[in-house]
Amino acid sequence: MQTERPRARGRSGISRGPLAGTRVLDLTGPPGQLCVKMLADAGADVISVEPPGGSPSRSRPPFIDGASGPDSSLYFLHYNGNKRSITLNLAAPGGQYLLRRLTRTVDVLVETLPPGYLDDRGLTHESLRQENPGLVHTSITHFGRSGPYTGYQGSDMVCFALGGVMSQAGEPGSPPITAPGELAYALAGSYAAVGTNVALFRSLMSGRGQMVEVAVHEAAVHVAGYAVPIFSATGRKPFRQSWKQRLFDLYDVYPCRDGYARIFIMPRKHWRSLLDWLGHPDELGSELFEDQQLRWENSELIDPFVEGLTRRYDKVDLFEEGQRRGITVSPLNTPREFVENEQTEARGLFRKTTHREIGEYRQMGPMHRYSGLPDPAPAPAPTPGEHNREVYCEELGLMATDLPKLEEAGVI
Amino acid sequence: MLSFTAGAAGPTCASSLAFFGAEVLHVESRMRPDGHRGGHNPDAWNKTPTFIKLHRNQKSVTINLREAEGVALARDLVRISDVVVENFSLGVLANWGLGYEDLRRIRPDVVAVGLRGFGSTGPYAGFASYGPNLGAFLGNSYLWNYPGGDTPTAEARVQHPDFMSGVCAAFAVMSALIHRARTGEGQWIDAGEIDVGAQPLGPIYLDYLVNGAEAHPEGNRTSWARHSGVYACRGDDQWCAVSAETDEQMERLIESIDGAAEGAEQLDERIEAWTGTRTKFEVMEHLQARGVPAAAVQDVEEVLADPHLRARDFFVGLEEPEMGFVEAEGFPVRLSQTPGCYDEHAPLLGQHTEEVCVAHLGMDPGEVSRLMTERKLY
Repeated sequence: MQTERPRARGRSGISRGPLAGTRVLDLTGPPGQLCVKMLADAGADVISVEPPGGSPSRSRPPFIDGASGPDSSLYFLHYNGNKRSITLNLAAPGGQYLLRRLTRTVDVLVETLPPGYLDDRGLTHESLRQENPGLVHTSITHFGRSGPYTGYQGSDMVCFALGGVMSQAGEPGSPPITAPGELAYALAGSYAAVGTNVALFRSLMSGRGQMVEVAVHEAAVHVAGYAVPIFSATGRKPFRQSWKQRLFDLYDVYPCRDGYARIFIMPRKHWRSLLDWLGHPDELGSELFEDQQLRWENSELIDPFVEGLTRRYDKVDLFEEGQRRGITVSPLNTPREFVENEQTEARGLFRKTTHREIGEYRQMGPMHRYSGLPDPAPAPAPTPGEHNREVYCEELGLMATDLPKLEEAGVI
Repeated sequence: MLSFTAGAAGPTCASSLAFFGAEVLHVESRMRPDGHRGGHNPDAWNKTPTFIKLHRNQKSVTINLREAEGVALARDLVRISDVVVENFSLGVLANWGLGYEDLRRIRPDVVAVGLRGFGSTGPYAGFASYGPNLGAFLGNSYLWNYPGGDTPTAEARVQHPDFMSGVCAAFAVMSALIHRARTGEGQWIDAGEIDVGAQPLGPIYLDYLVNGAEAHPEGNRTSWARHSGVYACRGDDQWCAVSAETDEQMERLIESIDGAAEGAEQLDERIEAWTGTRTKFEVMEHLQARGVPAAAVQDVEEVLADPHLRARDFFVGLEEPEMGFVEAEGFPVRLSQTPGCYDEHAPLLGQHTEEVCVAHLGMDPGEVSRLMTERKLY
């Protein structure tokens, strides 16, 4: 018998956003956090399944006032807004039974468990699809579910190192350095979110679900830009170059009075606008400089003029004057300067909400705005098991008296 | 899917869905060729590896939108499209009568997405940007550095967040198509690259918003890992990344290199003394065999030869008409029942103009060739 499907809901009642009406079971750790945040921010009813005691992601810094605690990780807070939380022990047979029951009520299951983890507990993809033929099952792992590295241990940095971009970052002679913000995980999450939605769309059309598989390793390669096709076609490969010398004129950053700004010139008309700004020095008059490659090859000729200009400005003034002239200038900001920037403010990227411990604060909202749909109001992350009663009793039909027994047995 | 795009972010949105079988019509013009197409130099057209990565499986339709007849044809294509993606400067499409309000009158349930660096609202909405400008704007460039680094950044010279925002825009398009399937309603999506690129830095911004703490570059140290770093191996400029995130991984790391040490700096020295006599792949295999996350820092040649990626058939090699055999990445998502693939080479400039006009718009071939000669389909 199919459990009657509960109506999908958000933290503050019936959810809105383009994915309203979609129910998601979230069994992700860090490699999948952005994927599920995207689904939640787009209006899906996301039920986060945490082990009793709470997700290990809750122990990630930074913390409120620097003090760790199950409810004070800002990392967890950022990625887990607009979700509900239940606790469930996947190692217990009772937990596996409840997961099957829950699977019948959702459209999507996203997990970052190691390959084989669910299979070993009798929760194979095939058996979950038997519970729910329309189920979209998204698996995000470091190396994927096949191939010689499938059993390897991963981390964001490890996958990023293999992906190719890291080899171009950092000073020659010093260690290459990884990108901030667990970028490989963020990319894997972005790709997984696309795959999940493609599979969900097809499931809505056909009633048939499927597995969506994403490897962080491959995501890190795909985002590496154009190095792969360029090397394949020409044998040329990028290599590490010092930031102490400017490698690409009109790409790298230039000194201003109070910091740095990037000027990135590609199209001919941007170059012409820059020449106007520079006052058309005779030395730069040649039409050859309209070609980007020739500009790069003649950096030492062009640079002194550009630097002479940039050093006269504060970085924000250079940015605004450059943009007024149609040139791609941007300041090199610190994170604080980004948060406090007028565009960030005007976009409403950070929105007021209230947290049990913090009180009123601002949290990052969704990455997209949809014309016909209000943005879901940001809600802070739930506490572990905050919605056990709501989900297990009101939606799954367990008796209220079952919960203490399940807690005692270590199932929830 | 009708694609009025150039650069990286817009085409990436289109190619993400082209991989899964969407028919993408990439509208371009000889009047204003994309830099990735080869810019203003016709000799370079159809020979740029960057264009290949961004446009496989897509069709190229050349339309001169400065001509009224060109715009009329574009409007006809809107009528047969589910999705319109664009990343021109704010207002460019509206000036041609192809803004969202226009599109909606032509096709009421159209899903339209506008990708712009700073988004389509706010004081910077009209500003020009490329990925590297936005990485700088977000604080990403600042943070991508050594602790106390003596250069403004040490980042890789890559296009982030262009690719990520293109991929995420494809997610938004699918969200809107799911909404349309349920309600019949179309949608305009404002996709700002800064809003996407900011997501991974969320905890860092929150630390400032909640605690007033300002983040600085941390290099290869991961604040929650027991230990992490990138270590010199045998050879010239050869490195291996090691990150022991859990207590168990930390114990295994120390056992593997026989290197108990007080403090992180001392441990770094012990690890590097051990890695320095081995190749990066030996280090990776040795540590991985003992359950420690470790990986060689690979350059592009090694990435293309990566035995794991090869075993998984990640790369797609296709014969490109004017370049010969070129390999590029597949889209890193595998669907079990309806897998995607890139099986069509990147289109030559205007390759599908006639085919699309005749087959999709029912135009007479003679009429098409007149419009081509008159530089309207151009």
